[in-house]
Amino acid sequence: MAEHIIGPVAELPPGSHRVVKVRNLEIGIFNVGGAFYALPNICTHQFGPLCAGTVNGTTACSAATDWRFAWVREGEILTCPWHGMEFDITTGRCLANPKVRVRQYPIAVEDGIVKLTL
Amino acid sequence: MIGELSSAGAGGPTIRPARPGDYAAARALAEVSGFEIPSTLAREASFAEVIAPGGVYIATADLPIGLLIAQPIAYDGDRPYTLWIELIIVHPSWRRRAVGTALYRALGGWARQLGIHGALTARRDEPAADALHRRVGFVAHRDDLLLWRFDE
Ligand code: FES
Repeated sequence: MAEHIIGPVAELPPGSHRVVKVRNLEIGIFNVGGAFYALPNICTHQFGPLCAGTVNGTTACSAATDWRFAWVREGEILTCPWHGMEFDITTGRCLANPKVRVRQYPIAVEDGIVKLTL
Repeated sequence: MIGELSSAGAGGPTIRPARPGDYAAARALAEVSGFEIPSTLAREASFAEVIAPGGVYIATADLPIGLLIAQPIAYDGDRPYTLWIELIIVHPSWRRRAVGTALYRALGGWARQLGIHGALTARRDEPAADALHRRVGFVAHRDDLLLWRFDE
C-alpha cells in the first residue's frame, strides 16, 4: 500500500465527489460533510460505474420516522447509474443487502492535501 | 482447498498460494520481468497484508517464475465478493508456457469455492495479455475493463 495525492482539499468541497484513476483502478473520492471516503468505481451488482452515480439521500419508513415514508441521510447515499442500487458512502454497504459492501480505502487530509492509501 | 497446489502441466511449475516468505522473490520477479514495482510489492509488510485475503498465487520451478495478485474490492460479510486483478507477471524465460493460464486457473478454483462474483482488470494494449485474458474467460466490460464472472 502506498499514499497517492488526490489534490488540494479546497478542490473537493463538502458534497462534491470525483473519480480518479490510481494504478489502473478507478476510485470515487467523496466529501460527505467534511469527511472523506474512497470507494472503487465498480458496483457489486453488475460491475457498473458506481461512483459515476448521483449522491443524494434515501427513503426510510421506521419507528424513527413515525412509520411514515421520509427522505433521510441527504448527501450520504450513492445511487448506481446502471440499475439504481443504493450504497451508504460512509460504510460502503449496499442498502438493499447490507451484508454486501464495497471496499473503503484509507483517505485523509494532511496539510490541506487529500491523500489516498492504495 | 482448490488451487492449493496444482501444476501448469507435466514438468511445469507448481502453483500455490503466496506466503509472506515469498516477498523478496516476488519483488525480484517483478524487477526481472521489467514491471514497475507496484506499491503492493514495495514493502514486506504491505505484501503480507495483500496476501492475507487469499487471492495471491505464485508459480514456482525451484524459484518463483510467476505471480498473480488479486485484491478484494467488495465483500459479502467477511469473504471477498469482487476481485481486482492488480498484477500478473511471468518470468521472461517462462513465457508462452501456460504459466499465466495456470495461475488464473488456481485463482478461479479458489474464487468459485468461495462464491466470489467476478474479477476485473484494466484492459491493456498488449496482444499477449489480451490473448491470455480471453483464453481464461475474461470479456470486455465497460470502456476499458475486462470481466471474468465466476457465477455463470
Ligand atoms: S450495476 Fe450497479 S445497480 Fe446494477
